[in-house]
Amino acid sequence: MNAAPDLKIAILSAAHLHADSYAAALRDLAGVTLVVLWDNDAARGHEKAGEYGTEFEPDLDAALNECDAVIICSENIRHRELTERAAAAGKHALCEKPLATTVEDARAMIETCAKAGVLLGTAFPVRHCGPAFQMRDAISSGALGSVLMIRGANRGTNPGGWFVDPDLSGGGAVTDHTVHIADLIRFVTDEEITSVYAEADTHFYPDLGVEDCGLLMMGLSGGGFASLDPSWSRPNQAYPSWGDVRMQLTGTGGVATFDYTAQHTELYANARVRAAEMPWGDDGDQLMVADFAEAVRENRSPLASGEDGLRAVEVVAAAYESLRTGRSVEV
Amino acid sequence: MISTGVIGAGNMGRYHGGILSRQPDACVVAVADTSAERAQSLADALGCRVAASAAELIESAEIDAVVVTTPTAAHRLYVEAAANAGKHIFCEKPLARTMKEAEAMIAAAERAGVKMSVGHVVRWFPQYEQIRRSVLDGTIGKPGTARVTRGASFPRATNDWYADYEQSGGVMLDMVIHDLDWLLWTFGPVRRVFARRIEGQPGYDGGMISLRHESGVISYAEGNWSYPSGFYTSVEVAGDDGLLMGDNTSTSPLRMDMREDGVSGAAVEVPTGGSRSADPYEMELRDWLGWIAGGPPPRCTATDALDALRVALAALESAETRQPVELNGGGR
Repeated sequence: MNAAPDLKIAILSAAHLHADSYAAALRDLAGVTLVVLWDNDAARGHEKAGEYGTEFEPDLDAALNECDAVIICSENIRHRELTERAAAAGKHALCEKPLATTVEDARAMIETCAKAGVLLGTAFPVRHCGPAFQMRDAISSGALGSVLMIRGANRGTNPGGWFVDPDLSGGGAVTDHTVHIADLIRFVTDEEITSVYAEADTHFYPDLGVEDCGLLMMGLSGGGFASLDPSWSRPNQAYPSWGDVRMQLTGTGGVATFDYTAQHTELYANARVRAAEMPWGDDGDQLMVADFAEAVRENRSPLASGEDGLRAVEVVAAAYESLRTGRSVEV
Repeated sequence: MISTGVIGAGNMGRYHGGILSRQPDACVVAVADTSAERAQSLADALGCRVAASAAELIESAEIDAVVVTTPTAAHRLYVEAAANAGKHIFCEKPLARTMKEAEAMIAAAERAGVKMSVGHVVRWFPQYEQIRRSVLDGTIGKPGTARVTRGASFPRATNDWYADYEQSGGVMLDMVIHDLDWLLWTFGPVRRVFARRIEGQPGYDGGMISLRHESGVISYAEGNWSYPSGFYTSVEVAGDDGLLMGDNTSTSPLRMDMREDGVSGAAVEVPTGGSRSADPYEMELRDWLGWIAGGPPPRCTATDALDALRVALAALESAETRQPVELNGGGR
């Protein structure tokens, strides 16, 4: 029996550092080949293509010609354009989170992909890991009962670069770190986020130009509520990892406490200035890339669809509206 | 020697009474409770008499000071009576269920010239004290965000009074107020409050509060009475030059998992500092005794307790309206 030909994947832009781990995941994944890296920054494209062991292609149409599907890791502001170009070329797309910087863009991306008959996925690796499924099962089986309240936190170091240029990122910590938890809440509970109240400020990097800390208080469609700390509050030079993704769900049946990066070994070495965490548990990036490849082969939606990406973008938009109005706003 | 009487022989009355009876410069001479049986049980434990009534205890010439550890809704009655009788007062938190009650109590104490302290004991817990000191001395630079959580199972007590929201104010007023007091003490007055709480679920309670301090600090306080068992606290402050974090499970120097029959968990969890040298409850009472004896005012005054109450009540109001409540510095 002949094996099916490898699925050919292109990475569109390595602006987002997650491109590194997706490239590594593709390398480790059977039946999939990273055939090309396109980037609008030729220097970065050459360098990263070398690192990833693939070809750099400066021409987007040429890159799209070479592949079956794309993974988009550009600056947030370019997500829509690249997704629409891929769709026009008939290529499936997995897009880095947040799906877009506006609700309008996210909706347009979903519509364009649907019309073109290509799949659109949103890169929400957290929902791909084992404990996310376990929590989801504990909700759907009734073990955790009905959802009373959820505490969420997705803190990080300051990512710097284009992330802190609102013209490229669309916003600061609230844009960057709302969507993982918003998506995890939706995935685990099967409920929607219905209202958002937000606080935000720039406290850690005074001249940043975007918010670096905040707090979201959200209503859920089942009558419960949730909080989320999206701050870039982990000290850049001292914290032993990039940050955290945590959630505690209190239900009528019990309390589930989730820590995405709990599975790690602590490393203290004289060669290092600071301690490090060496992860050994579920690799959400790897599982997500594998799911995308499988979705393309089976012509089914990726685990996190474009719609899922849109829902999270709506929460971000509501948070900014709350910040403008000082009110709790409906999503 | 400061002679005290304990009104309310429940969990906290038992705890405070035990501490006071061990002090070299204080003693417990009488206990009062609406339940004669409970009063007798505590009196036996402390080796003191049972008062005929709270009024008799308060009027008793042999008593200099009273400890009020009744359900919250009864605080005002006993505190005002004690003040009018010229007795010094230690009142458990929350000071009262409403601002009106609390203000009347403070006015009564001031009028009578008696010294009233309130049991916001978290101020004496070593980790909270250390984190506050580290914030104030600039160890983490300028603070930007703070997060404090506290969780336990639903408390059980006489007439299930904790479950009566009108009496207790639920987890926000009874438990989160500890953390609100610590946040106010550490980061200053509050400008704006937003909160949600669990509603309409008998046997469960929980609340989440967003605070915007006048200093700009964004803080978060959470209380949860919906755990099946256990007691959990965490505290974290992020500044522009560092991060402080701690929680009671990772900082517990001893864990014992014992075989137990029957009901799980304590009726009301009374967390302790886990240290031989410094019991926070003893330190708060020593602070009060020292003040009565002519020393400096205590770490937590009745006015501090009033400020924490104002913020907790604003949180309850916000949870009701689902919109932020502006305090404009009123939540000192």
